[in-house]
Amino acid sequence: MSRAGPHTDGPAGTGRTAVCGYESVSVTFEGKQVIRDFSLEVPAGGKVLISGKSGSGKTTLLRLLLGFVQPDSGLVRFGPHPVTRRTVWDIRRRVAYVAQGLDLGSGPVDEILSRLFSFRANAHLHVRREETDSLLTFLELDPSVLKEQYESLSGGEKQRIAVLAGLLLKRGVFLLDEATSALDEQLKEKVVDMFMSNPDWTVLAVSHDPAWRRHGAVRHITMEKR
Amino acid sequence: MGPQDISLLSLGLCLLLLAIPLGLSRYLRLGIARSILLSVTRMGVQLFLMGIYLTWLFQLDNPLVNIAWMLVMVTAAAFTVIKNSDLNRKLFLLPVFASLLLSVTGMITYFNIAVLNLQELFSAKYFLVIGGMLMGNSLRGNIIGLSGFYRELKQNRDRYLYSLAAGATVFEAALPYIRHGLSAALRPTIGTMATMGLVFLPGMMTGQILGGSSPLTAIRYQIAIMITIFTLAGITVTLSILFSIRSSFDEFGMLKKDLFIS
Repeated sequence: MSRAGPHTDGPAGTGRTAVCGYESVSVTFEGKQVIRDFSLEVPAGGKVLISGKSGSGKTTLLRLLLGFVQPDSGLVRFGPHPVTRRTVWDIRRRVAYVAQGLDLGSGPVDEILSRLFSFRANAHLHVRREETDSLLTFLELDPSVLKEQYESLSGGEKQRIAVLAGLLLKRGVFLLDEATSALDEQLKEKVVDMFMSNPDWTVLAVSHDPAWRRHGAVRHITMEKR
Repeated sequence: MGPQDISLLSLGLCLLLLAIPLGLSRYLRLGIARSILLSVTRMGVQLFLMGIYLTWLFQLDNPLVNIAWMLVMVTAAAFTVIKNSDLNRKLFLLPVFASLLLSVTGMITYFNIAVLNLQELFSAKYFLVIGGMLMGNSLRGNIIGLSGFYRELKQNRDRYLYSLAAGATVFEAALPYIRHGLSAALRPTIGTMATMGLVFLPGMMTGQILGGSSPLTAIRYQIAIMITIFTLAGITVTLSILFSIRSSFDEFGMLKKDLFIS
């Protein structure tokens, strides 16, 4: 399911559909330029991997789409619209974000998940127990993890809960920030493959993990440090 | 029957007592002599002025003047809340002022009509005196609640942003921190109520009994006032947070950078 697209891209009528794009985007934090003149088009169903040294602005690229950061110049688009104070609220209902910090909340895992579904934007989703269970099995987590305190989980477990939350939200666009860094090799391959092989999903992944690079379907972009 | 008056000579005798803490400060080198003297002087001047204007307000007892004085008190209270929570005055003065004004006037009106059964709503004795006491007691809750909410939110910024990214509105994403601020603001009063009447006499009851009321009247007032103070704290903290959310987040739902002055 791709709720975000397809949208026709621009007046040129090339027929290509883009889910999101950056046009000559530059971002400066406290006098330091982290992104300079960056352009990228991500078509519907496209898979893009962004890698590069830390401090090269990879995370900022995802945060631009979520409206957490504003560009100094250039344009960030989602669908046919630029990311603005008006459109950003709708964009946040169409993407699933796995943040690098994995700070989803505190308390039992099932409460953190049900809080996401208490938001009005997600109220239409009725998550079935079997669906959660089968995803937990796929992610090699025991269902008892739902009753555990999120803070007490290991980094790898938190990461899988964050991926689980993203999948349960049923969005068509995934913004993944180092979403597999703490998983073991075999599970990593499995998760990467799941994201990469669904033709309906648009995936923008930030990672320096070779498991993503190895995947044939991916378009790989390297950010340079400024 | 009024209370025994305190003559200026007696007040002077009371001031002599200050020699003890001042002596302690000097002997143990606490270094607080200056601030003791300054605070006592301030208290004296402020209360002396209050005595003058309360006498004047009681004699005049004009509803419009009383309402104007109430506005002055609410303004002072709003400044006090913001100063003590280290929040940016530009962003918070108006929301806190509006929240205090609405909740305090609403609460006194209810108290004076329903609890005290008064005919004249704006009489100085009840409107200003009870209003002032309610407001004074809601300040601490407001300070704890408002700064607790914003500090907790700032500390858990990533969590808040994660909720936004999952489609939450500002209110939905901020709800855990609203809960935090509100319960932190209410907890002290809940504790005070539970221990009230154990051995020590609350200030208001002492005053009433000295003023000639029967202890039974005094406890009824005390209970009514405590419940009103508690409810008022809940309303005013909630309103302060809700009103200030409009000015302290930008249109992308991001917390503004200059919320705190320190």
